[in-house]
Amino acid sequence: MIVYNCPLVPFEFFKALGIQSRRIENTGCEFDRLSPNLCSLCRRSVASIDKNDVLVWIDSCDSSRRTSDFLKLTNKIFELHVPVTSDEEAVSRLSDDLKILWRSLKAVFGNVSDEKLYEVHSDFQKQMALLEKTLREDLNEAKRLYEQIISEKWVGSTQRRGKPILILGAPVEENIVKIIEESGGYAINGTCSGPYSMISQIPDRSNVFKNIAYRILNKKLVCMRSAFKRDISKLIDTTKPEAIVLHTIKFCDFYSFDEKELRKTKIPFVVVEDDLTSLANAQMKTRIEALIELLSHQENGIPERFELFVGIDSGSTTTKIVVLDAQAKPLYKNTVKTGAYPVLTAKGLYEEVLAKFKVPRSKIYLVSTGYGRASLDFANERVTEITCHAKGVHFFLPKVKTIIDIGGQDSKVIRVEDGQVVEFAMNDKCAAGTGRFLEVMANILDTPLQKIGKLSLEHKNEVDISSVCTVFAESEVVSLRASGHTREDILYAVHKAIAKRVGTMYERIKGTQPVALTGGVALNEGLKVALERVLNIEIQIPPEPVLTGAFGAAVIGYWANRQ
Amino acid sequence: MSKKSVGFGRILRKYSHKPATVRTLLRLGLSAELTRRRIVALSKNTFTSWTDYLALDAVCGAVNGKKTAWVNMFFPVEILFAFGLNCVSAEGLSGMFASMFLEDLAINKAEAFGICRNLCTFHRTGIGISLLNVLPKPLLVGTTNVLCDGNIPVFTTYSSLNSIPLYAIDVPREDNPQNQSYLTKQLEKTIYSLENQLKKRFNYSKFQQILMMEKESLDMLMEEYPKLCENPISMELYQHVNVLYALHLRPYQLLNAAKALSEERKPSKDDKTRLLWLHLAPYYDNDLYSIFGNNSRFLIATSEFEWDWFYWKPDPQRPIESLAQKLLRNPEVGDLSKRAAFVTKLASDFKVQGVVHFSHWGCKQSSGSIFLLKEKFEQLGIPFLSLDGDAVDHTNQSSAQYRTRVEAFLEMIK
Ligand code: SF4
Ligand code: SF4
Repeated sequence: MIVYNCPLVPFEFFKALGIQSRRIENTGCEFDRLSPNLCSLCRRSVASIDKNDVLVWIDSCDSSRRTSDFLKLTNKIFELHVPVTSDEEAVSRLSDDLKILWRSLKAVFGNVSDEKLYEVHSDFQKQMALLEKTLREDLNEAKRLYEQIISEKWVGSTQRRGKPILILGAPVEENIVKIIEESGGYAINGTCSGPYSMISQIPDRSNVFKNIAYRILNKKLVCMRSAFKRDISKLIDTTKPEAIVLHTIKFCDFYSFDEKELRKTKIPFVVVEDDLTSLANAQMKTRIEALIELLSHQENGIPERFELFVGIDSGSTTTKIVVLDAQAKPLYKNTVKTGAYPVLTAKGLYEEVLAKFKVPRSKIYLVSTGYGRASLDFANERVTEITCHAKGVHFFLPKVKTIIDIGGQDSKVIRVEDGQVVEFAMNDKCAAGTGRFLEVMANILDTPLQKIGKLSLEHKNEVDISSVCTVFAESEVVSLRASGHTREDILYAVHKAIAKRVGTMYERIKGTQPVALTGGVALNEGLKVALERVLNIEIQIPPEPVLTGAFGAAVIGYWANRQ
Repeated sequence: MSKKSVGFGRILRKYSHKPATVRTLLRLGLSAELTRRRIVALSKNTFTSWTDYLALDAVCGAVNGKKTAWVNMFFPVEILFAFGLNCVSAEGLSGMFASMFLEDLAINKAEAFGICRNLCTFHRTGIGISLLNVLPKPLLVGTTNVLCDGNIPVFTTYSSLNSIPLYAIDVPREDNPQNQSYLTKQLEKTIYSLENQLKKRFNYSKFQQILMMEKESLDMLMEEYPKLCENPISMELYQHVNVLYALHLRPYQLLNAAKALSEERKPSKDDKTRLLWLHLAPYYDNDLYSIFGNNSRFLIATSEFEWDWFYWKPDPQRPIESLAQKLLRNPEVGDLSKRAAFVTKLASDFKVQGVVHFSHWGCKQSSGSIFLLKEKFEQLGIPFLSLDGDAVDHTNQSSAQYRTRVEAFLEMIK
């Protein structure tokens, strides 16, 4: 078996030799001798290699090269340098290297004539051209062709059902396709695990090695390692996506560079960072769902008439419920700790409502949101907290254009127009910039969490905490304390530090006034002031900012019912 | 240098919303410091005083803004100098911002622009600096794909932000005749394109002369090598960084430094514990500076980028081929075994008792397979510390952690 790391390999060789090949794949198990700061895909795919596999390895990126440092110790490996440039010299260089690789592979797998290679190559060319055509016409046929040509599994939708969503960035697996399909879209895989990365300009030279080299170097969608040749606009023109998911892999830095290009297109997009864990999967799900919700402005109304509209926000620390009547008048609200059993907690809250209002279940429209939303299978609809916050704020403060939501575990900045999400940025990777940061700091300073905001406003001097990481900031606070700064001064610095973190998100999505602050942290006066000063804006706070998500969820039902 | 830079940074920060003012202040401040370093070099005439001067010169050009090219550390600057351009190290600019504690301004800018937080801070800060608009636009940017692949998208970004041409050179990872001629052709092509862009003939004899000067200095350094191994010069940690900038960005101006080195006679007895430093070191004032300062009982005998030209001999008769060789013979280009052979050689030549690898956040090429490097040194009985940190972003580290880890390691050696 030949195993390769990147689709820049000469598939023609494998076919001509008649040897099975496959790409390395994520096994879920990390190779811990590779540095933890290396691409998650590399770390998780080493285990997919058997010691008898012959490796054909492209020096695609730093992570790939460092991975091969290890693989050399266990496997037979042929490394191939694929130039980042594609001019005549690059084609000749690669073609010479291909010749050497061809010879070496023949030495391992048995002799095959160059004529045979030529034949395979022209077949390959024809099939490629066909693939390009069928991609426009018949996805099932395209799938069949693709799987036949490179013997890899097709990753992407095969039916054009729902909204076309283009995936760009680092290679994706089935899970993202599933998320997109479940959120009402169909996935067009523009990453190198999909068909578009295979399409090339057609070479016409007599030398088969030059031809293959040319094909490899002249893909229509070039990988980011040759950034100066990459142009995503053509793929966008041909696939006409309604939204784009930019898939980045943790510690693969290449693809975040596409973001600035996406900004130019005006197509809604979202950047997801994947480390191939189930946690990352859940985080990506929230973002992708929110993206697709943003496309479907309440398109489908609810057929029946309802009497009560309930929103449940199942968050990581607290679960909140809000009940509106048929006129959208708030009737009831409640907040409890989520605890270890989020579903039971939410169910309990809901049952209380059922008992209290004595309205038949069929007359209640329930929308769930928050981290636990997906598991609440008794809800009529599940909507991400991003959309819910937008609706919830709009309900109370219809003029608001930007929402800053700082929760216990994450923070978001959402830009809205008329209650409709237009863009958002979200941080759920590091505690800095979330309520968790305040908790930790309150703890070190031995001050009750409820008081820190007020106290911070009594600061006399400006000090700074420079670290963005909670762990480092912690030690900075300790040393500020030791060097005699007052608790008030330090607390103000703590609030400023969060404000700065949130500030970059605000700038990133080009936030505009009026701005509302929601989430549990909104009740903290100190943070409001710090944000106002750092961002040089004025901030409004909706009533009951802790319940904004639940309110929004209930409001979504109410509006759908009115249509 | 560090305290002063931080003070200067504090002033600049006050004007951070006025790029034009920052630009003027930077120009004044840096020119004054450059003059000062030059005077010190002329009067002291030591190896480090010259390299300190040259290292600053490699970033100063950016603020003066005439005919500058931003390049990465391995770009064949000799070609650009022959065209009369002023080469500025993009990594060095990030370092300069870090030394003033101003890198966060740039990093936040880059992040708001969409650059991900895991990208090496040399790159992130560089992009941020471009976005801050405090430096005049360069004429062009140039990069190689070594040592790291991040260079290509990053320099592409510089080029598109400033609407200026990018010269990208693809360096294969193996040294053989085919790759040499491939690289030579690319260099020729680069020269040709530069002639077109600059509307100027390439000055071949100047080019040869540059290589001649480079050869003369490197020959001298090579001659000093055995003596240095016996008797390394003691310098501050940041001066080691300066040396590598001087060597890579000002290779033909090293003569004074090389001469000074051969004249510097050091007392032959030193009982300091010797260490080899791998990869880079932080550019901002931090605890490591004091742990390894001149008064420490530990001596950083050398660092790897001071000798990465070791296997190369400049040949002014065939200058272009020679520059191709310079890239291919660099032991840092290629797989781990080359680098390992080179750094273990340095370790044994300099008779070090320990190795510190500064594992810069986001630098995959240097630290990805560091486990294997550690194993190699351990087989040789040389203790090895991989010190995680950030060479640019002073907020991505904790001085206290550096201190604890390093001191524990040093206690282990002694
Ligand atoms: S995902 Fe990125 S870092 Fe990982 S192998 Fe691919 S290009 Fe390299
Ligand atoms: S530190 Fe590493 S990642 Fe950063 S520029 Fe240098 S080689 Fe590249």
